[in-house]
Amino acid sequence: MGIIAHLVAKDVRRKARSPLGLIAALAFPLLFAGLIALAFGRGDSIPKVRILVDNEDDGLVASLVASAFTSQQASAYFDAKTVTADEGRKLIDDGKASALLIIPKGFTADVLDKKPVKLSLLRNPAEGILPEIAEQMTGAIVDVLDAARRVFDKPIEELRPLLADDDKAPADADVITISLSVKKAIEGLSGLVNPPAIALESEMFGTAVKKEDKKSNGDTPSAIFLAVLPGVAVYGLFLVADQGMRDVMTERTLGTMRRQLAAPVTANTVILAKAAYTAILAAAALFVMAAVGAAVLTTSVSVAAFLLVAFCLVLAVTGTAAVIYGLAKTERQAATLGNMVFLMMGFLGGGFIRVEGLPAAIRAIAPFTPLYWGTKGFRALLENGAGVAGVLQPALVLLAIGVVLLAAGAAALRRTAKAGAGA
Amino acid sequence: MRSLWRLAMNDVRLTLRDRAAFFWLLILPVFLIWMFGHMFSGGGGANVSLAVRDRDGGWLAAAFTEELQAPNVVLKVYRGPEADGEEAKKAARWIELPAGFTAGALAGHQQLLRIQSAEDASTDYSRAAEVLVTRAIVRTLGRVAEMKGANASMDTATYEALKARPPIIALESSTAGTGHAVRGFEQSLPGNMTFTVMMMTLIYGAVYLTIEKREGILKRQLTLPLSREAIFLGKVLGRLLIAMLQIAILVAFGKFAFKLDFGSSPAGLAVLLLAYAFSIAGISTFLGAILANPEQASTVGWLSSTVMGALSGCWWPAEVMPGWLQKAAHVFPPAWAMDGLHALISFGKGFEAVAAPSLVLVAFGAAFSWLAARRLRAL
Repeated sequence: MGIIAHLVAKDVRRKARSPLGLIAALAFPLLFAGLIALAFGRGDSIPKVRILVDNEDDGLVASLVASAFTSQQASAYFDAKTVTADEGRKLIDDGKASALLIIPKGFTADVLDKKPVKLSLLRNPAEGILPEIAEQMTGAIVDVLDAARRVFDKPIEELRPLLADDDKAPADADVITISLSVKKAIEGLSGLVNPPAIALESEMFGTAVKKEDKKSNGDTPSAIFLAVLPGVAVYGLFLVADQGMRDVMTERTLGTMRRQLAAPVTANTVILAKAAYTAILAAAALFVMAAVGAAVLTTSVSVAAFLLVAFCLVLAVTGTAAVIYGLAKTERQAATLGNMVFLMMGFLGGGFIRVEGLPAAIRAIAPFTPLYWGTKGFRALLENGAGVAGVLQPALVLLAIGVVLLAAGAAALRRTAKAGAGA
Repeated sequence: MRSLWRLAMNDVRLTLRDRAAFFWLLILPVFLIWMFGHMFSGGGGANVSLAVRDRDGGWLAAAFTEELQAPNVVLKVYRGPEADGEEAKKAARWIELPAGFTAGALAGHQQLLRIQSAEDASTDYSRAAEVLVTRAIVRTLGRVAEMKGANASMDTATYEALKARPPIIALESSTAGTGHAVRGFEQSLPGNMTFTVMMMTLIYGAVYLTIEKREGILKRQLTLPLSREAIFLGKVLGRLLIAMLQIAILVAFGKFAFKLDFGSSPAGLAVLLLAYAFSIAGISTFLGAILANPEQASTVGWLSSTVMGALSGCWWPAEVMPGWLQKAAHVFPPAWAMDGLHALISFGKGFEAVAAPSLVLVAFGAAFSWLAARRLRAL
C-alpha cells in the first residue's frame, strides 16, 4: 500500500509540474457550457423575430393584423418594421430579417365582403426557427380573424354600408341595430370565449397555471449553464482520465516503466498505482467542476447522492481509459483511439447535446455508453433534486461498467507494463 | 516552385499516412452532418408527434382532435380502453380530453388541457405542439360559436359542414432565395464542413509543425538549398492542401451521397472555400509556430476550433444567438465562411455575393501567415 501511495504521489507531482493539459481538459466543459449559456441564455438578449410588414392596404382589418406584431406585448418577441415591398424584399434577400408579411391591397374590403383573401409571408431561407415562429404567429392571427369574421357576420354586414360612405353620418337607428347585433353576438359567445371553453395550460402563451413558490428561470444563462454542464463535465472527466492513463504509455516510451519494474515492484502494483492516480485526477476534476456548478446553483442538491454518482463515475471513467490504453500498442495509437472513443461517446451519449434532442437512432445507442449514465445521474441531481434513491439506477450501472472495464483494462495494461519492462 | 510543392505534399503524405486521419477527414464529419441534419429537420424526420387520449368520446372531442391534423404532425388518437393501453403510454407527448369534455365545453365550463411529455421528449417539439393545440382550440371554438350564433344543431355534421368551407383569410407562405427553406443536411453540411475542416487543419497542421520544431526537422530543412520563404510557404501550402482535400471530399460526399445543391455559382463556391482554407492554413501555421509541443498544439487546436465553430454558427443556426454575439463572431474566419455559404446555398446568389467574405478570409490567412513567418524566422 505504501508503494502504491508513493507511486501515486510521484505521478501527481509530475502532473503538477506540467498542468497545461489537465487545465485544458478542465477548462473545456466550463468553456463549452459557458458558450452555450451565452448563445442560448435568454434574459434581456433574447433574439427577437425580425419581421417586416408591407401593409399595402391600410384599412381597419389590415391595421389590426399589422398591430399584432407592433403591440407592446408582441414587442417582447418581435422586432417589427413597416416597409415598402421593395425595401422588404431587399432586406430579406440580404438576410437582414426573418420574414416579410405582405398585406395585400383591398385586404380589409375583401375580409368585410367575405371574399377569400390571402396574407403572404416570405421567409428567410437561411433561418429556420425565427421564420417558423413568424409563420405560426401569423397563422394564429389568421385563425382568429377568420373565426371572428364568421362569428360577427351579422353585425359586420350591417356595418358594411356605413363604412362605404365616409361622408354620411350613421343614423341613430343604424347605430342601435348594429349595437344590438354586436351585443347578441357577444352574448352568444360569452359562454364559449370568456373564459374560453377550451384552454391550454401553456407557459409560452402565458396561460400556465401559476405554481406556488416556483420561479421559472429555465431560460436564464445560469440555468442553461447548469443544463449543459452535466454532459460536458462527464465528457471532460473522460479527457482527464485519458491524461492519467496515458502515463502508462509515456513511461513505457521513455523507458521509466522499465526502471520502475527493475525495482522490487510488480506490474500489478504499477498498474494499480496508475489506476489510483487516474481516479484521483478524475475525482479532483469532478470536484472542481462541481464547485463551479455550485457557484451558479440556486437550489440545494443531495450531497450523498452526488458522492455516490461521483464515486461510481470515477470508477467507470478509469475503467474505460484502462481498456483503451490496454488495447493500444503505442502512445500515439492510444491517444488517437482515446480521442475517437471519447468524442463519439460525447455525441452518442448526450454529452454535447441533450439525449432527448438527438435522433431516435442515437437515443437507442446512448444507454450503452457510460457517459449517458453519468450525465443522467447528474441531471437527476440538478434538475429533479433527486436523492440517493433517485440516482441509484445510474450509479449501479456505472459501478457495473467500472468494475468490468477495470478488470479487463488491468489485464490488458499488465501486458503493456510487462512489454515496457522488456523494452 | 517544385521544392515548395514537394514540401507541401510531404505534409499531406504524413497526414494521410496516419490511419486515424480517415476518421477525422471523413467518418466524423459525415457522422456530424448526419446527426445535425436529422436534428434540424433533415431526412424527413421533422414531424411533431402528438397523441390524444380521448376519454370523452363525444363529437366535439372528435372534432377538436381532427383540427389537430396538420402537415408535419404525427397524430395518434387513443379512445376508450386504448387511452390507458401500452401503446398510448409510449407516446413522446400527449393531451388528455377528459370525460365530459364535449358536454362541459358546450355548457361553457372551461376544459383545461395540458401537454404532457415523456422524460426524453424534445422540448422544441413540445413547444411546437403547444402552438398546434392553441390554433386547434381557436378554430374549434370559432366554429362552435358560429353554430351557437346560428342556433344550428350541435353535432358533427353541422361542424363538418362549416369546416368544409374554404377559409375567408388564408396564409400563403413562401421562401426567398432558391424558393425552399434550407434545412436538414443542407443546413448541417456547410456548418459541419466548416467546423471539421478547421478542427482537422488546426490540430494536424499545428501538431506536425511542433513535431518538426521539437525534433529539429525544421532546422535540417533550413540547411537545404531552399530559401526560408520557400520553406515557410511550403508549410502554409501543405496545410492549405490538407484543408482543400477535406473540403473536396465533403463537397463530393454532400453532392453525391446527400444530393445537396451548393448553389448556382461553382466558381463562387471554389473561391470562397479556397479563401477559407487559406485562412485556416494561416492560423494552423501560426499555432504550430508559437506552441511548444504536440500536446499543447492538439489541446489548443481542439479548444480554439470548438470556440470558433460554436460562435460562428457551425453547430447551431446563428439566428438563435443574441445579435451582439452574431456580430462579435465575425472576428473569426468561420463566421465569414458561413456568411458566404449561406449566400450561395440559401439565397442562390452568384459570385459577387462571396467576394467580400472571400477577401476578408484571405486577409485573415495573410495576417496569420505573416505572424507565423515572423515567429519561425526567429528559430
